[in-house]
Amino acid sequence: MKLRTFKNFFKEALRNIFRNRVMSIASIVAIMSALFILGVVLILAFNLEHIAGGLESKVEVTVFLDKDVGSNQAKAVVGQIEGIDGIYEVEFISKDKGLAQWKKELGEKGDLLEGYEGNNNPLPDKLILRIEKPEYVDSIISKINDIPEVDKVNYSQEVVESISKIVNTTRLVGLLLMIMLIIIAMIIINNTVRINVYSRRREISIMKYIGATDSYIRWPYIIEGFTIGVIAAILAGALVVGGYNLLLNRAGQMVGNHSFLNLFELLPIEKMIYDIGLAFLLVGCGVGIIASIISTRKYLKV
Amino acid sequence: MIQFKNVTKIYENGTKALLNVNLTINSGEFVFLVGPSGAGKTTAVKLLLREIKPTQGEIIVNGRDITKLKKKEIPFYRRNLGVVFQDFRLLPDKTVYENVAFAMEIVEARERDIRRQVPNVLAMVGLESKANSYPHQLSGGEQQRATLARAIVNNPSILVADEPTGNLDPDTAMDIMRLINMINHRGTTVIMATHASDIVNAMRKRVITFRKGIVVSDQEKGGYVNEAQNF
Repeated sequence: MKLRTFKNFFKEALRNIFRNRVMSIASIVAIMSALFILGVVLILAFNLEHIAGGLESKVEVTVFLDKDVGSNQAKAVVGQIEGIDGIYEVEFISKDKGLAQWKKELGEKGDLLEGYEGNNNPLPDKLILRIEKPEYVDSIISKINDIPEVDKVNYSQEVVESISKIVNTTRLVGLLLMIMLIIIAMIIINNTVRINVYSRRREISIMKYIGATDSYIRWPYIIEGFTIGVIAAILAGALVVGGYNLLLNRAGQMVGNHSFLNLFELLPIEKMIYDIGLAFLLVGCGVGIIASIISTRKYLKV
Repeated sequence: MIQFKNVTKIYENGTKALLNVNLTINSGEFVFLVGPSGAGKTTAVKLLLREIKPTQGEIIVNGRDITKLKKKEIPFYRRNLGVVFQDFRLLPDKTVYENVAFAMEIVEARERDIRRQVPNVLAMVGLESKANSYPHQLSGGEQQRATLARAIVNNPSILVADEPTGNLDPDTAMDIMRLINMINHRGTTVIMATHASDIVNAMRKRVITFRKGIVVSDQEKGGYVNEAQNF
């Protein structure tokens, strides 16, 4: 196919879009709506993962050292554990500090622990580790168990697993919703292109009589579908970015300085726009092109 | 050369459109296909355009059996044919020039050739001054001239015309016939299906008459066979 022929196809496609502007706008709005909902799902998924990631980072592993480990030895162990990958914070609670905390927790009854100070302290030294990702927990624990001074390792396995489950469920639901929306958008554009092709069936039959090949007839429709997809993706992108920024502003005003709510801080749009933009373009163009191919193939049998 | 060999066409609804038709049309001939509605002439045209396939028989065009053409080959086969219809079938959103140029664009002719050839053909059919008009701005005769220009712009070896004068007044019809005759004189085989007895009688060309799917007469320099005369 010559370059000039393609230029003609583009001209033809743009002309078709403009000439059938009502149908074109309907197609664009249909894809745009689907993409917008897709964008909402994506933003939700990204934010949930972000929040879940925040929660995951609060996964704690508690390491107890043997009771007869001296304070110098304990410091060496802390250094050793700090060297393990995947741990971003190590808090060391010596047996003395542990006892003090316990006493404080008991409050008035703290005197029950009288006499356990110093060498009588029954508590072991303790380390609290914060892990970057729950996947790392297993390997970190096995490495720590290899350290001879370590007596016991505790971690909240159930919490880790339930957080993983929430994240995975969110991803799955998001994925299913996306697939559903893509199918809906395909059906809408497929119908739109079919109506377009039907309204131009005379033109197509003339082209066939003159000796146009099927692909020659089909190309402008495919380019049309592609162009409609791009326009829809750009509009949906603008809508999502605008809407999300508005939401961020509102959320910012509402949250103010409440530190609890800051835990659920929303992601800035800049962190998602490339992924969302790429998804929009791929889905928008893909839907436009595939729907055009299917519907022209159906019609061009004549 | 065009040959119909034992061609039978029975449509899916059982209509017997052509029954065991044998025809030979030589290159450069001018042939009228005549007969009442439903006699089979339109079916013959559709078979020739490879719009439909015969139920039985072979159709040889320029040495090739077109009933055996693959789907992909059909467009390339049709480029050997110029086609003219009763209802003109110009693209309404293209000018006369663009409509004619379009036929060349489809075969991916060079831009330079298009710019040279289209005005030539438009001059030949007498439409130079209407090159930038749209079909709805033209009279019926002018529209049919534009269609003729489009049909011959790629120099086809065969011109197939299905009732080309059906929508035209007698004077305009004769103008169109003069043009078709001129195209024939340039060496193009012309096959024209028509009802128009006055035109057929005036042209004194070969006339093949169909009735109920059968060729009932084939005359050199013939006239329109009046049904009352023969049947």
